[in-house]
Amino acid sequence: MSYAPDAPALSPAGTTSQRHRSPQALRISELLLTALAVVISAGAYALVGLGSEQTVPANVYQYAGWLAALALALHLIVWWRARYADPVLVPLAVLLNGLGLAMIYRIDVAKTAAGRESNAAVSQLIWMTLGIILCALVIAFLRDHRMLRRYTYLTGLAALVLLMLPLVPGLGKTINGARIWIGIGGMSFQPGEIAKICLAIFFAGYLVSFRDQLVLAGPKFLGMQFPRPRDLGPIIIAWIASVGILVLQRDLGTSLLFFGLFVAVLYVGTGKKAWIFLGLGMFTAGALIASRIFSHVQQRLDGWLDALNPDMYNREIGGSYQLVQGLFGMAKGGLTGAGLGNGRPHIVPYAESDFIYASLGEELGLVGMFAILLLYVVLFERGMKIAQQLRDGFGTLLATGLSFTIALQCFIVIGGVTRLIPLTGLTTPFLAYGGSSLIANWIIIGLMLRMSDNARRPAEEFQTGVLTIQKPVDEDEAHESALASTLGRLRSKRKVRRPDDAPVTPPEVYATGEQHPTPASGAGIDADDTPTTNFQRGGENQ
Amino acid sequence: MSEFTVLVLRLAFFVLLWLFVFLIAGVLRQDLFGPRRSRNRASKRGRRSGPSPAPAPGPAPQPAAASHPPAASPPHSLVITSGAMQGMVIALGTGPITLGRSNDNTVVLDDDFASGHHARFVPSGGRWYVEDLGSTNGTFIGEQRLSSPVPISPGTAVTVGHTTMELRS
Repeated sequence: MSYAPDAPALSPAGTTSQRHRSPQALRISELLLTALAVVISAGAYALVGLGSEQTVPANVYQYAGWLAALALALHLIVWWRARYADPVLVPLAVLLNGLGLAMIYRIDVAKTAAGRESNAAVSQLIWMTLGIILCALVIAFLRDHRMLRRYTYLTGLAALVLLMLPLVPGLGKTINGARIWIGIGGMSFQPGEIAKICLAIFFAGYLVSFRDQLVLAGPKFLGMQFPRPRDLGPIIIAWIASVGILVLQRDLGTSLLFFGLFVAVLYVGTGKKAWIFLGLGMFTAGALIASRIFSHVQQRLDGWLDALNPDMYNREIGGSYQLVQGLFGMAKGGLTGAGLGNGRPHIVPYAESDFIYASLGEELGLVGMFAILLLYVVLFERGMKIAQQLRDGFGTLLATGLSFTIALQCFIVIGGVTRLIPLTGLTTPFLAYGGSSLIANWIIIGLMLRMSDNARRPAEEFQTGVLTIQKPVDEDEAHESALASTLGRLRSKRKVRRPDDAPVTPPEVYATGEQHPTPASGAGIDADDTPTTNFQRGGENQ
Repeated sequence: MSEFTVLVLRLAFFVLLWLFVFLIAGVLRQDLFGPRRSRNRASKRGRRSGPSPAPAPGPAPQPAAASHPPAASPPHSLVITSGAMQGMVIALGTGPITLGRSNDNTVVLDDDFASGHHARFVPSGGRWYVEDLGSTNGTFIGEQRLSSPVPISPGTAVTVGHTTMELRS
């Protein structure tokens, strides 16, 4: 595990202080912050009405009540199941989601006024409800994030299937040139968003087992230790996969997101900077080649570099109209913005999804944009803090991966909208209109809450409380293995065969077991969890 | 509603938004530096818990020693001082702490030379004991391989596989 050399200096203060903060204090600050978040969200909603229609929306109390009920329910679930969890995650997510809802409602109002009926805010609220329910389910039923490590390869497979789903003929849908959607009934869903979580679990589980090989140094080049050529396998596979997404699904953003996620987890897992440079180099090379071969990538690049060129601006397909309109909007917003409901953000195509940050910039100005940006920064900081506090390598990598996806997504979208990097279609976490993304991000918040609860829980509660699910399973395995060894012995002596459905009665096994060794402390229990165990077990059997 | 009222409401919205940001910053500050105490003591403690690797056993003339005796207090954390997990800090409570590579340990060691369930730290009668759980490669204090539970004091290095740790008070 790569802890920065200065980590020991920081962490004692951090952990010590948490010891002094009782879970009640944590939860009360969470409750207050969440209440404030709901108030701000409802205020934004009311201001949208005031700005655009000169009256407060009629249903503002129902809306505020619904938000408050959702937030309170989540808060209570956290209090019940994850008392030690980080107190700022829930308020941050609720506020970001609430601001997004207000902005989506604002675009709805503008579109409806222009004669295009739009009800995106309502469906976003439904998705938010669903997302919070899923987040609560994760907290309530996943008692220990380390259980996820058992399903490392299963989640890897699931991620692959989810990524491939849009390519299935009949199921996949191509929207705006990107084939990342599936349509079920009248609804569209982006399976890639869920795949993102599965991939984070898979990368964490895989790298925590195999990072030891990847740490071995290879040739030195430009003052850096590069990995041995034969250890490049995983990164090359990840690269091919992300180029595959780029080619088959025509989606630069998702491709960059997945590859970046892999490289980030790889870097944190091994602590070698070479992986970052290698990853950046490989992605740049891939994108350059892709831009030569595929017109849509080249268009994106042209639209970025030469955005203000009238030819580019007026081009029908792949022009920079959207980007430039977004820039104009933000420029109009200035320092304090036009005020919610007073701008014209709906001129920009996809103002409620891809360009929601530009819309917010137009109406809230730089002051509001920076506040929102800070919310994301804090969210990411909390994720890295959780990663640092966790007591197991898998959790560290998983928390890193999940928080890094949020951060990278913000960078790709906000960087694209503000013309720092080429524009790619990704959703701004929590803000943008889009059900799949919202659900995925709420699940991520659920996982983070679970992990931070485990990280901060005092050791004795951690042992007795959280692992109640895992312990019996392990004991069963121990019984099973004891039973198996006894049966093996019996079979060799007396040729007894246990019928498959015979009830397993551990006490009897132990009663006969004078001569059979009790399962040595843990020797066989974790055998299937860690591949490196073979080496260790060889030692223990001697 | 008059334009002026709307303007005031808008400003109030910004104030609330930034208030939220600063409240969150306050929570983060508590996380980094601990809850706010009286000012000068807080700054002293902040400096004390600095990077000094050997736990300086309390700057002796601590006026607040009566209310908060740092030197005489029992160890409150287990710090991994070398190995792959260097820098990890585990808060000690009243229960035992188990170490090993297996996933159900309190501290899951990322160390190929540690056993599944390698060793544990147990509190008893105000002291902490370290006990080897029948590991393959043993648990060491210095060159001494443990055969029975041994009481340890803060600062004593305990080695498990390629990982070294010590108690800190």
